[in-house]
Amino acid sequence: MLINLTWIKEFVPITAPVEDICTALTQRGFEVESVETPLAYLNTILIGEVKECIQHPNAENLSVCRVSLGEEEYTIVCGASNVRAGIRVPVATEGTVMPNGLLIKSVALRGVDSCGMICSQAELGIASESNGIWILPSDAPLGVSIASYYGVADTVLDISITPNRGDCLSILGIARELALYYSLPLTMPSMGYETTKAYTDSVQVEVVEECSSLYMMQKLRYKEYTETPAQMRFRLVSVGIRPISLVVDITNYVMIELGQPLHAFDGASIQGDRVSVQYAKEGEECTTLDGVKRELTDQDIVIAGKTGVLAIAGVMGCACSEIQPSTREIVLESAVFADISVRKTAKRLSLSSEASYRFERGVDRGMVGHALDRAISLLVMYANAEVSSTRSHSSYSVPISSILFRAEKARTLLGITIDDVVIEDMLVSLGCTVERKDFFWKITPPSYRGDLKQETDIIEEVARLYGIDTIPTALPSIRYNTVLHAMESQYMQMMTTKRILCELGLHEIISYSFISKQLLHHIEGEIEAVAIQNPLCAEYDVLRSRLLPSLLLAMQRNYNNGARSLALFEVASIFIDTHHSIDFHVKEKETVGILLSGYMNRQEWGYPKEVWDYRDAKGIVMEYIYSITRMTCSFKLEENHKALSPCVRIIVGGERVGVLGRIRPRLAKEFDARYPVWYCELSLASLYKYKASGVQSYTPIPSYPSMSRDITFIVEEHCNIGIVLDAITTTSDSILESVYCIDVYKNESTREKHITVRVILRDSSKTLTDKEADMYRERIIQRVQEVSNARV
Amino acid sequence: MSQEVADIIKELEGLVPELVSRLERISSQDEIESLRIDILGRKGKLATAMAMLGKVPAKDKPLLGKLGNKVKEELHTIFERAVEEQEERREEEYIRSFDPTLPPRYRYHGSLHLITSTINKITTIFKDLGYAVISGPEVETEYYNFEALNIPKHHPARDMQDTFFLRDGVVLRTHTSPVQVRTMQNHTPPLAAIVPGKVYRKDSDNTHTPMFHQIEGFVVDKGINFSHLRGTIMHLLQKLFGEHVIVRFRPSFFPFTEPSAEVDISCFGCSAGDKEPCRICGGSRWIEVLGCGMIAPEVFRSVEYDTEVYSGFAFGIGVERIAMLLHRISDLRLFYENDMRFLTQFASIEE
Repeated sequence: MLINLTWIKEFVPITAPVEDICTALTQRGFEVESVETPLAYLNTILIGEVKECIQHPNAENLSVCRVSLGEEEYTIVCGASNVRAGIRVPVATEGTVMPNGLLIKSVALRGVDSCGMICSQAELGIASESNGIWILPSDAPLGVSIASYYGVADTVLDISITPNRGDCLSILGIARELALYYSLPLTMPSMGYETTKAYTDSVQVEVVEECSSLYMMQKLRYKEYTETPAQMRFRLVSVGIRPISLVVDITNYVMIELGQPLHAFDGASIQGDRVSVQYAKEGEECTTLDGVKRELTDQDIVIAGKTGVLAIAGVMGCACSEIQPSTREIVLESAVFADISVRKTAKRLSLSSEASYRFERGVDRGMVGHALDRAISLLVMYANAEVSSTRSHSSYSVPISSILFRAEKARTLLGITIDDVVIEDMLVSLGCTVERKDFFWKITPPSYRGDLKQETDIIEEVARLYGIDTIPTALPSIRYNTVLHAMESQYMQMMTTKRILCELGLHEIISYSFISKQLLHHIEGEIEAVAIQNPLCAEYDVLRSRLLPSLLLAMQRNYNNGARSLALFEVASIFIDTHHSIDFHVKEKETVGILLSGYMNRQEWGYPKEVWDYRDAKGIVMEYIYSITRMTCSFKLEENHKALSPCVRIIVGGERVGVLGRIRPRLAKEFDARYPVWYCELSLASLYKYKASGVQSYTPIPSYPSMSRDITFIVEEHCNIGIVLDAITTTSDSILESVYCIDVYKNESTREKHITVRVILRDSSKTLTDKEADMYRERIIQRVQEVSNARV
Repeated sequence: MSQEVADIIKELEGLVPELVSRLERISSQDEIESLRIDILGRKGKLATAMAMLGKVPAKDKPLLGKLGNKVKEELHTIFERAVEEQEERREEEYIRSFDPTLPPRYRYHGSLHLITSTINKITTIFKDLGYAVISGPEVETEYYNFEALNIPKHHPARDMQDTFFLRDGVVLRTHTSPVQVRTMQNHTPPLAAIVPGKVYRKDSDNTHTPMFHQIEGFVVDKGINFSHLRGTIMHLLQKLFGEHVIVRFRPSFFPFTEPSAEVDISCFGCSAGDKEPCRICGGSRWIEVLGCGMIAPEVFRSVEYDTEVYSGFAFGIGVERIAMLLHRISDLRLFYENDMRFLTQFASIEE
């Protein structure tokens, strides 16, 4: 809401500096977002007189004028046809920035130096088009700025009004708050006028109760078309309203002043002098003032005449009843329309107007008649209008409900000490009627405070006037809730996972939960994804049902930025369409995605040169899973994965908890990968089913020495190392402490693989002898040979 | 003395000068070792000389044996000293050539996203106060996201949050507040919880991303009042921004709290005399950091709590905003671009 400070001073005699006013408003809940001077350009547009006007020597359509600004004279080239000697005109001097952004400077126009610009009304922003320059009254003082001549060098505050305070969408509303803050009197604008006795024409109104609880119409007529006074137009411009014509400008002016939207109909459009305020017929059509043809529903409230819809109530008028320059009789409407209906209609038609914005937030029933009076008085003043002595009026009573309020409750809920009498004074100053009856007080709020409905609303007002910034501070003592604290696990799981992966050297990324369906399908195949009904753009039209696309995008960005070592992870919910209504069709699954590609180390002198491969990825996955479950997971080749090849499934406790594999090279290339890309996606919920429980027990440190034996098995080249290792480890021999590979060598000529393993042997009760170790070595060889064709 | 004996004596006596002169000419560890083998080894010169002892007459043996032992001892001593000297030289050489400016060889370390560490920082403050950290669904019903929070379907307050719809009545939550309702529904007071999570609004420009992070906090118990809310918020902001942070509460409106307030901290990016408008506060000298209030009676009614018994407060913090203020980040989009050059900047542990 733009509030013009000069205008507000007509309501409240405020003298405080602007900063002080801003602080006051902010303290009372009206945040001042900015302080502007929208008409500042008028300060350097000065009143001048054209002393001489001659034909431009080199251009037929231009005149060269000698313009006096009082003491100085300038030569200005002007293109307007109505320029002539002897008139007084607005002159934009050098350095002025015009509303359209044009900077005024001295230039040569067709060989004649021109210093400044003689302006039209359109150029000054107060008319949509102009035929020629603006000729000012002949007594306009030379050299004085337009700003001071019209008194419009105004400061304008942009105030954010919360949805509950519809009453403050007006100069009056903000003035009321300032009057209260500064203890100043509030003055209402003049509303007096005289009606013409002989002129009794009126419109018969028929109103459906649910549509409008209060509805008024009054006829006016005038003899000639009058322009809106410049000052009023400047004012409207300063608060963001475009001037249109006197009648419309006055309705807007009064709406800004008093917060009551008004509408003016061309009298001739209301045939038979009858209108009804009712719901539209389903499918009924009308063309609104913006020239758009609209189809209505039976939920939309309209003002209907004999010939059809004249206006969509509270939203916009129709072209058929628009005020024309030729209009000589108008019908002014002031009303309260059903807020929810206005909102529904404005939303459905995407047609939010200044009027609908105010109706949605509730207008003051008590202001409907006053606003009509104010508009009529202005029309009488500026258009010399005659006013019909008959006002059409439809009113349905609205119950005035009072609120039971306890001062004690206010004190306890706010944590303040405040006397009853202080509270009472506050409420009275807000315009409430207060009936104190011991403990319970009966509060009746003023008609403009429709937001005050219950005790808490009154408590909020007490807090606001007390000053919430002065309420004491205290830390409450928090009582422990065992059951609630047991709910913490979900967050802890996410955090633990993030910490472990971070410790393993990975970098966390966070991506949007939405992704393009096309991209998801391209990467993962035709899998389902939950669609967003109203996506921001096609790029984000579904919720991701896999993390891989997000990690690929992050990889791509970083490869393209020159990164050559990528170790990324994301922990987030993926969204699965379950087709069950029980969980609104969508299941959220917390998932971990890990992507490794490029160099494992810095590419510097003295670092290993390896790039991430399967063993590294597997190591990270196993370490992570072990730290959660204290279990070793197993890996089984899986076929036909759309994005991964090879692809292995990760098995914990017999359950598939995720997959690990290499992104298919062609796909990786599409995302600008320079090196193989290894990827793992794990379900957090599946994994956490196997979360290690209890406390880990201590394993005694061995007191006898171990022995080791190295054995080289020669197998055919495609034999998996796991066959050898598994054959050794699947034994219950207590002296086998561990076994690991120390070398693998491929003999290209024999197409054989040499696998050298080291077995560590230890007896917990004695020192092993060489002979025992050698015997055990033979047993191992035998066992391996039972399951393979390995030679030693 | 036989010629033989004289030769042995000569041989033995010649070993020490030979060793000394040969040692002078060598420098490496390996050469010393091979010299040692040559002279003191099993088949070395000393052993050869001593082997000849067997052939000499018995009367000469004690003398020769004595000489042999003396030479052996002397040779060992010289070798030990030579080895020591060698080690010393090597050590000296190492120290002399040691380069303290050698580039380091780093260990791997990962990083948490700045959003995660900011959430951690804030939740830790509240965990220390005894709050439980809980989560809730990102896909919500309109009921939990709006109606139960006193935002009726056709109320202008809905305009405050542009919503993504998945189906009729099913939305991506626009705030973390639905968890407040769910928690109150499933538990009984005392309740003190902090709820970090992703939220979604259909909004995208320089200062809005369609997904962002919020932290909801609420306390419900007997006797909870606005001064508790103020104390809690002050505590949070002092922990985050330092003891001397200047805080301003100003009345505001949220459908689910009443009274409601928005909280600003005084801008640390500018001072009174600055000519250019400040990039952080836009010249207002205040930076909005969170919204809060006493839980509205409508919300309590939707979970059937008796407002005459219980009261509570709630607050909502924008995580990105706090992270931007704490780390002086001016571009919101950085959070979701996942650029390594951004991600790895915050790898250090801040507590």
